[in-house]
Amino acid sequence: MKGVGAFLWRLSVSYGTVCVLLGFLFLLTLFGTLEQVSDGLYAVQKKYFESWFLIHDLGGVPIPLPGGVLVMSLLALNLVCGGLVRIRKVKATVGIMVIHVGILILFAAGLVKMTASDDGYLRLYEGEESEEYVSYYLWEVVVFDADSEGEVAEFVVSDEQLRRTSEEPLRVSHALVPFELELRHFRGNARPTREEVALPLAGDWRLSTLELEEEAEANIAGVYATVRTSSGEETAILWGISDRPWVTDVGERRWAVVLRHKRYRMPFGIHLDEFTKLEHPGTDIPSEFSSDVTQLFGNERRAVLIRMNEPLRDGGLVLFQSSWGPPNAREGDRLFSVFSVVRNPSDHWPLYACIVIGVGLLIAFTQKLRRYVSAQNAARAEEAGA
Amino acid sequence: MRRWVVLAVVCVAFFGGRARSAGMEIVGALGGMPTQRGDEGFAWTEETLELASTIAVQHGGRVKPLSTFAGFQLLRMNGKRSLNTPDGVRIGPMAWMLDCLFRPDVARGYECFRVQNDEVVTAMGVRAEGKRKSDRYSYAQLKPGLERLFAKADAAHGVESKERSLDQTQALELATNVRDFERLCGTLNFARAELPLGASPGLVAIFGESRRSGIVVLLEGAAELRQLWIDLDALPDAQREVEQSAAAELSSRIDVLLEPTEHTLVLFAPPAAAAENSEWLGIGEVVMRTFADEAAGLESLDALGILEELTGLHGDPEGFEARLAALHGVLRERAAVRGEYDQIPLEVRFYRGDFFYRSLMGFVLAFLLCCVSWMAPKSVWVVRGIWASLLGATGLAVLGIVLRCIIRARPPVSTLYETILFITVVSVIVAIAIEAMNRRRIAVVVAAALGSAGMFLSMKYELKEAASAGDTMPSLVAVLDTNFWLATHVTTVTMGYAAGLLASALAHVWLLGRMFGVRNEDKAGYKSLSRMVYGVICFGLLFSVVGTILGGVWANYSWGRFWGWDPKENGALLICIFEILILHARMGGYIRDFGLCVMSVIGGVVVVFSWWGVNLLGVGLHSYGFTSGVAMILMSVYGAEAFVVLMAGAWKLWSPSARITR
Repeated sequence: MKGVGAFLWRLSVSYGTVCVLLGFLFLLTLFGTLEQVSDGLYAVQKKYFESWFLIHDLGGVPIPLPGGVLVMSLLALNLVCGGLVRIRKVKATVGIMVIHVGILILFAAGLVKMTASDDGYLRLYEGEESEEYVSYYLWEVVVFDADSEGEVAEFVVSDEQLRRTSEEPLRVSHALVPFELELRHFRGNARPTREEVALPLAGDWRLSTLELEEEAEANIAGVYATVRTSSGEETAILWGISDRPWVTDVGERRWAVVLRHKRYRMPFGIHLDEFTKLEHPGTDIPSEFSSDVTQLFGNERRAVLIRMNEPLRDGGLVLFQSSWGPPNAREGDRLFSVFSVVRNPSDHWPLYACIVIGVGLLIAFTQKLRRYVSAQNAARAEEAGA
Repeated sequence: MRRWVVLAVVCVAFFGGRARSAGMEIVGALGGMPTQRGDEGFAWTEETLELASTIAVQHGGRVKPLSTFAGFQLLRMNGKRSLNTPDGVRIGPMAWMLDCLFRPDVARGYECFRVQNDEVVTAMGVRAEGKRKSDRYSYAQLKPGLERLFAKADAAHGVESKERSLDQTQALELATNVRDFERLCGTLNFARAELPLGASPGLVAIFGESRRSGIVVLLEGAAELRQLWIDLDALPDAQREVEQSAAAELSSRIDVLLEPTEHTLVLFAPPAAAAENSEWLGIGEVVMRTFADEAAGLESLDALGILEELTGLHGDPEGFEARLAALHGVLRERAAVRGEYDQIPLEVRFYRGDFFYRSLMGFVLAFLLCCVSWMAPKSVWVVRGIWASLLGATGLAVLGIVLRCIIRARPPVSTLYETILFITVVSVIVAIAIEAMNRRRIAVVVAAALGSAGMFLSMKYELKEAASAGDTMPSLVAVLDTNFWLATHVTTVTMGYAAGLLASALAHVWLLGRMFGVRNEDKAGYKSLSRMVYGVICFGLLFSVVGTILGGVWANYSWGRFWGWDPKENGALLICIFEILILHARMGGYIRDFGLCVMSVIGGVVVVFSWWGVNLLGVGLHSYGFTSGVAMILMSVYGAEAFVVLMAGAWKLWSPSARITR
């Protein structure tokens, strides 16, 4: 065991390991860049950078490769073991150690972003307000009382649960609702059809499975939903683009069931007062997008300007000016503004990492430069003496 | 000391006195030489050219000198900023522009349309005898086939740009150029035309006294004319019909005359009170707004009158010059009140200085002197010549970049064209610094070679930007329009590119030197060279890593995500990973001097891929970097570098000289 432990330690601190891992990371990045042309960013990101293992197709030849998660985890391990623990702690290696600390901060920022952040968008027409933002590609099924008014209590089935129904049905019940809900055959991109396809009928309709789009936001999910009570059951197809929920009568009340993009609540509301789009004179090159908004905290209000490169940061959220529409709007038409909304606890860590790494690189390379100049001077002096 | 002064004078005379044809011509034009003879020995005077050059126009979202506008128009159509008239006189863009405006019949005879592939003109049925496959044609020569050209171009327009054949692309480009040329030549048609101002009793009543019948006269009587048309309903039927018919004829004539003025010369600054970055007015808009009794139009009426006068004055150089000065004064005043004239004279001087071409000449001279120094290594004069020309060329390039920064009030790198200039200058400066440290006369050769290649590439790419954007200082899209991030992220990351390319160039010297047995006995020299490569990679890694992370920080603060695996981001990351890999492989003892150099050559390919290659993929958020038409060059670079690496590998495996030092 001691031998194995020593071997693993040597392996984890060796330059050879880091070279191999960097080589793999280089290949993953290269393949993941080239393949975006055919497969789109989202699919490539999942395949190359958010995986443990993958098979790369090199002109018809399958090449097994370690995935980005595995390579970067091992690199982080190597960084700690070799670059911080085992490294000689002398003046000459101070810069290197600082660099490694900076890279670790960067890795940590990535880890926190991956595990503890969420993002989405908020689309508002001028004059509208909202306290929720919407995920780009996560889905949820929500059940609520269709007749209730004001604050509506909702029963939510999460994206993770939904995706599992592609393999096996999910039966859920909740104190809020007087029925059992069964969900099955979730498809990430689908459309209802009357044609003969593999999936079963729900009324006159079936769900037809489509290829996933290159841009994840373009996918429209679908799922079969069955409402089951003691007196019987009713089945329908829920489709992500449908603007009306499926409403079913159970007992004396009407219940709405809807498949929609996941929604997140913000600790404040946003009211869009005015959206401004400017172009460079005489061209259609945009020179500025900005939104005059009012931030709402109960009865309190605060005027804020959100523009390109100047987001709103508050309550752990950041709202960025992202887009606008409608694209075919004419002068005087009511416009909407789209904000990207991000909740990321490690928001500023990359900047800290950048500063630390920059300082480390400066220290390390200044030391090397001084040694180089000294060596050159010595060599010249020697040549002159000779 | 005197020798240095003499040497400096010689170099300055070389760079300054032998500017490229366009630059020389401009200098000549403004230095008292007749610039153009054309018909009956006609020539625009130097004062006229100077005045015209410094007229401000708004184009591409910014205010620029007319000479800049003319230069890029001619560059786009002709492939260079000068042309030969049928009389054999070489003229520059400003003289060409004045001819298009004031002597369109003469301009139509200039061979200013570059046709790269004669298939286009053959298909038009205008392939002339004695023309080469790639040659220049005049508008008059193309005219018989224009209908066919426009039909072909319209068909090509409907095809996705990526799927267009070369033939279709060239037809589209030529048709665009011809249409722009037609518009230019027709811009002042309104001033040459006689309007039917006596076609009805109502018109005679308003304009009967005037001996002139141009648009300015019409606008002077606009109030009465409006009233006449408002009161038409009150007229008896027969009289109303006559007036309506005259109004329709007049209106249609004005429409035809003003049609070419769209998107050509936007000369008239809006009133001082108008918002910042307001749109300037073209001739057509001034006419319309004056007729509508709007202040913006009425204020421009005097300038419009001068333009009208000028069209009749080109046979009278002194009179033309005097009225042009008056026009210049009016237009400048309007722009200056809004603070939009400040950079115009500087930009005229910038283009007149032709810094980058002169810099290219300096780098080429330095390189040639380096070659001479190999034959005469002890000549102090040659060494001084190398340094003088190299420093002079670098100084000119730096000056050019600084002037661009001042003119646009932007950091040095904001477009792909500017990356070429900046990367070239940085790599040259780093190489000069290395040479100053080790004095082995290797880095200086690399500096001269890189400087020459970079400046040459910048000139070629300028042509592409002229065709696509009509300017090399274009307006930036909103997200890029931030001086802080352009100055930090973009500048540092391009410095990383520069270092990567310099390391690659130095590694080439090491590998080719060893493979061809150049001074094989000079082990210290080769050791020093490999140290240079290592040092430059360290330098490059510093800027690549900091620049790449800063890019992520910018993305995080602009879009809310630090890293999105976008191709351009990945390109920068590839450089960082590869350079870190080189350093770790070296530290681990897996590579030595040979391996370091081979990997640095591959590193150069990675830089080229990141700089240009990812732009060809056509995906990602960095849409400003999309480039077409460089795929072949890029593939040639990859192929050549693969050949170098393979040859180096073969040499290492089989050459006795490689084994000796193993």
